[in-house]
Amino acid sequence: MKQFQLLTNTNLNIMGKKLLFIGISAVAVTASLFALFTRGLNWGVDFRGGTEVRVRFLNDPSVEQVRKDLEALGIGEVDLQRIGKPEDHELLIRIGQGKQTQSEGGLIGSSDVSQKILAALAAQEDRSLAAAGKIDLNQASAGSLETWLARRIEAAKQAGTIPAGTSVEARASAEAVIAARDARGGLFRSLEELQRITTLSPAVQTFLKEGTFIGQTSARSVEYVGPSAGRDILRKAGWAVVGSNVFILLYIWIRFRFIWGIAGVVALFHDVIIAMGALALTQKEFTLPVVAALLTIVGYSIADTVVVLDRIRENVRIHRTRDFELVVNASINQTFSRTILTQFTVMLCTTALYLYGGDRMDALSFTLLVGFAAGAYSSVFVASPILVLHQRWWNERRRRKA
Amino acid sequence: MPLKWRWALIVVVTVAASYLCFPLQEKIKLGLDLKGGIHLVMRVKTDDAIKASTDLDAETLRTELAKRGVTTQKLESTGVGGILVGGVDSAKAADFRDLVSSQFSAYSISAKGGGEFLLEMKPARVREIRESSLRQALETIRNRVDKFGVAEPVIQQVGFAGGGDERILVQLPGIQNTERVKELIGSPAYLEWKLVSVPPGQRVEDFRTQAPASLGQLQTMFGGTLPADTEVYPAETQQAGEVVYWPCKKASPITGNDLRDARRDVGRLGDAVVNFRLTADAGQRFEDLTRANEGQLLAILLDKKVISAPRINAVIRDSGVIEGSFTVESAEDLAIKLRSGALPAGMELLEERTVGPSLGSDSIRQGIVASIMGAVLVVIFMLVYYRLSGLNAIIALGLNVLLLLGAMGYLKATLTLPGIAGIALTIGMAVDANVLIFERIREELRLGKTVKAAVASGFSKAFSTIVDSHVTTLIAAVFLFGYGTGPVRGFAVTLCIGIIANLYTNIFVSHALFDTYLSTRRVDHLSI
Repeated sequence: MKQFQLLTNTNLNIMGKKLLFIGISAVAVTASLFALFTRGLNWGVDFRGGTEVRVRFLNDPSVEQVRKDLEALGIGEVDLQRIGKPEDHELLIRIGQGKQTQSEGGLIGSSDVSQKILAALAAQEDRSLAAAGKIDLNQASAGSLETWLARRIEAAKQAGTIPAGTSVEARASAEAVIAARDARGGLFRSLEELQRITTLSPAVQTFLKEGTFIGQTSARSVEYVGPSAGRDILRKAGWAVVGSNVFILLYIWIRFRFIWGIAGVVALFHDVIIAMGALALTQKEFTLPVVAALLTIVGYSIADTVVVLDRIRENVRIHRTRDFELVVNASINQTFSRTILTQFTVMLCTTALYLYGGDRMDALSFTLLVGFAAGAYSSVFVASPILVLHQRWWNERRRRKA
Repeated sequence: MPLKWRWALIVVVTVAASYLCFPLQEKIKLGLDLKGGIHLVMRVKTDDAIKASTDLDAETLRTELAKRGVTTQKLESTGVGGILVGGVDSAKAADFRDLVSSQFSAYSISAKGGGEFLLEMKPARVREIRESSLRQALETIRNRVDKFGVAEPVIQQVGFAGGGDERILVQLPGIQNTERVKELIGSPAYLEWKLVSVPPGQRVEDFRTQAPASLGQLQTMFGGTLPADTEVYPAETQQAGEVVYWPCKKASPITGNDLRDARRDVGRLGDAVVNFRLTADAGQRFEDLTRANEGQLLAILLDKKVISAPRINAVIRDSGVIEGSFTVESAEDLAIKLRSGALPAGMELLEERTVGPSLGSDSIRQGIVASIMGAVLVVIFMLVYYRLSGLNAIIALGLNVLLLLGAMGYLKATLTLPGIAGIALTIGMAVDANVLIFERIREELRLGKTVKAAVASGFSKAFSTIVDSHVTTLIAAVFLFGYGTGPVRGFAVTLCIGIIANLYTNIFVSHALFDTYLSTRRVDHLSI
């Protein structure tokens, strides 16, 4: 059977065009730096502090109206973004680190802000229903629902509508309702949906029907980060990048040569800068997992470079007399197919993650995708030319001395 | 190693990994970002504890100096860890120094000239106070959470203690009610009983119902200045936002430390109250206090705020009720806090994340779909490109994921949202080493080697490359682990384990598969 081959026995004259390739990289890096400095990163709540609430609406919200409602609160700068699938009607609401006051005796935090946000977003009729003492099924927590049910059950027992001695479980009922809500993506659409929860007793069904309503909004997640946290995380991330680069440099120095390590690390910075430039360009949110993605790029891209370096070392040992540039070119060609193939398989998975992983994974997988692509390029077209250029400069210097 | 032994090892490892990771729902712990719940990071303001300790020492110093007849013009705590003493009589300066070095050895003393001295708490003592208040805070929070009843809570110290940046991480899976939880674990819950100083000329009964709404008004009642033993504390009224002020004696004869028990109860009017019982010793003090002050008002303060100021109608011994405008929940929470003890210092919230379970389960579903999509694409590619040898790579890939899950089950590692991305990436990287080896074998075949020789030298030549590339990746993953907390750490864990599992499946399992295939039949053309 014939082998299925791509890019085997390539004989590309990569070293001949090394200045072109380095030039392309230089342009990409410059463009990335330009984007970073002009547009800047879209810092997530992890870094800039503040509150981020993800709200799902029953009906498609008007972004402008929501913005107006929230700005009227005067709790800080409001940033709105549609998120998830259009039919989910979700908004990501970010409130900058504004005037968040210390709640007396307790902790400062988001819930004050997020409660205000949710209250401001509630429709007029929701507000009047809540004011009339009805419970919003889309915002109630299991605990608050349980307390409410327990009181109702107690009152009914005293009034004799529930015969004393029958057990009606407030906790189990509340949990069943919340579980049903979660199964529906966190939002009930109508009170009729409650009837499909078979574990609820008729008495509880009646209580719920009479005392609750279907609110327009539900918070899917709430995040609050204090003002000092971001700086801390960035400092740690910086150290992690520097530390991993130093150790990678050391390892390559021990296994290969110092200058090869330098070439590898230069290629790494190239990849990370390009990935960050892409983030600045697309204004995708820069979050903690994105930093993790950048470090993963560091780890993965160097592995690719090491494969090429390994081959160069092997070939240098075999062909001691041949010109270094030719040896490097041959090594790249020999490893070209595997460089492309290994990147290809990883890109398959990263692409799947980007397309199907959901919006919470969006920025992370995007960063990986760009970084891996840059990494594939840099192991071949950046690291190796640096070796050759260095070798040429070294030979030149030796010749002049002689 | 003979083939037989290699297979025995592979079977053992595979069975062990399966045992450790199945059933997945039980063995793989989900992170809060997937399961839903509350995640809090708080800083313990240990400066508070140091300040309290300095204040206490300053008081002791004052009485000790008075005992020895050393007069001073000024003696005050300068806040965190310092006591400034001024105007020490020069004749008694030696006595003063003696006293400090013998009884206040936790302080270093420096003369500032003109009879002024600065006592500074020694770093070792500062450190000790910080560490012990962190320990106490952890203990208290753990107690409160236990009594609140949360399944599998995480309450732990983050980072280092002793440097003034003591942090506590609290994770409560399945809890959504942030407001209540923060109140429950974040408030110091320092309870005090204080006698109310009723202004002269006021009848106790009148004063009780109309405490003044402004400080100025209160001062006028006292004729301009408050008595030296009196301080003013605020209380919220029924109307939200409205505050009244209570003048109370500085001394707190009974505090929360004297409690033996506290429970939520139903009061006379059917309202929620907290029932308390005192220790025997405190009960005696309470009896004396109430006997001596019958008819007076006794304020109950929580965290320096008056919650109620009932009149002492009868002698109370060791039990009583705290009334206030409680709901059932807030009475229950106060009882929990009182039973668990007070926090030694205030808390500052650094980070709070609440994820609803519906969002988490959406992410799990999407993550699984994406991982499976990725895996299917990789499998198709490997089969098309490497034919039968691709099958070998796929077996290795499957084993890789199994080992990854098994190791996570064994290490009790938490699977987070980025962790799912880590698994998807592991799937993509798992075949990398296979590609390296297969390409090398193809090269050797092209050089005209026999199948057996090509496979052998393919593996041996690719070996060092694979080790080098995995080690460098591992370096970055380890730094990622060190950098990250929570979700990011979950990502680093899956990545690290994935890389190590990768080495084993590619170098060991894949090789055994090839050798078995080649030893059982004569192969002239390798399907690769």
